[in-house]
Amino acid sequence: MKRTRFAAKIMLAGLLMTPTPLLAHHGQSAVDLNKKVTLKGTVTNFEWVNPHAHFSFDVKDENGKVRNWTMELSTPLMLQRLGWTKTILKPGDPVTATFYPAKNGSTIGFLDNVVLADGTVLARGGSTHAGEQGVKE
Amino acid sequence: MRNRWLRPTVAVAAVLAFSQIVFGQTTTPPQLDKAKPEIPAHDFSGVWYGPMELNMVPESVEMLPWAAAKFNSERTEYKVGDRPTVRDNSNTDPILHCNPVGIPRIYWSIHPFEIIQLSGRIMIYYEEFHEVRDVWMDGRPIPRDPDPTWLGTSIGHWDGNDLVIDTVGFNDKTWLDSVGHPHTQDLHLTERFHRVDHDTMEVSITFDDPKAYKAKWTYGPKPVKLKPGWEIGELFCTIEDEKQFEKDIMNPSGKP
Repeated sequence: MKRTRFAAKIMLAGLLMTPTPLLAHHGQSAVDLNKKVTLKGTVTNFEWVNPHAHFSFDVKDENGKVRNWTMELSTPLMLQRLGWTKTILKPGDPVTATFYPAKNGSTIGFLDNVVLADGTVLARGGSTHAGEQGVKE
Repeated sequence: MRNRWLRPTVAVAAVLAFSQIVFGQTTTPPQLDKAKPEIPAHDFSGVWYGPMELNMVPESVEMLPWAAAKFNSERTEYKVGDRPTVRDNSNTDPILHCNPVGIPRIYWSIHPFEIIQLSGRIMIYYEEFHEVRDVWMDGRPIPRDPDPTWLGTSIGHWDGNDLVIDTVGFNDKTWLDSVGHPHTQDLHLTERFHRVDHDTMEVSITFDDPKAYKAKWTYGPKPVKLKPGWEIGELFCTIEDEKQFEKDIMNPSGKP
């Protein structure tokens, strides 16, 4: 009986301490982690800054309306370890971005990955997923 | 008809087996035995990487009423799937004002840290916001009335090949972890670095803060990997960067 309760406590502790997304570092519960969106567009700017680099891209919808989305990334130091450089994205570059959008309807998201014109896939560098924090092993 | 080779074959096999026992030989060729690098003794030098969780306090550990009240007014919010949502009040996070992240919260960081071993002390150099701590290895005692500082005073010793670090003398201005758990100046932290193999260590952190928590607990062990070839880069927290980030990303995406 004692052993079962002890085991149950350990299991419970394990469940409660399952990794949670890094987004809470800035309290950004504003992002919907249950919704993953993929959009194609054209880069408008790329900011290689701390604490989060970011790039924006124009997306044209089916009605021809253009919306500018901003993708939040990790720090330049972590991005470099994943193959990013400060010039890897330039205004005018076509990209396909997969991201978690902000819940408040703003055109901001946490990037999951971006695919460049030549097929290169770049990851965010600091993941929103449990167990995938930072650079993958 | 009996096989006339049976008896000699058995005899040869017996001799071979016996010689292996006598000479302690294994069937593994020598070069394969040497393929595994040795675990260094009393040496954690290098750049290490192993981000840990945002929450380091198990639900089973009760807070004292003042601590629970502080936590409820400051904690961050996160929601993953169906897990419960905690109220968002992220603007209270001290690191948004570039206060030091502190120990042990800095273990959450997605950035690496470097262990540099010198005579009489070990330096731990965290890439996240350039935080550096000294772990004194010269046999000095754990201070009884230390001045409160952001990273505390750390005294280390070897326990076999494990490095054990006792830290006291924290101020109470940091969050214990990244979801906003509080602590007092009386927090006594004990970290244990255990080398599992050449490229892996496990970190366990024992928390003792009776003025905030009704019980001690140990978080971990958590794996941390050696990263040969990685170098610590510069990452300062500046108010200017944080303000720009709030303006560009946090505020537009955060307001309902």
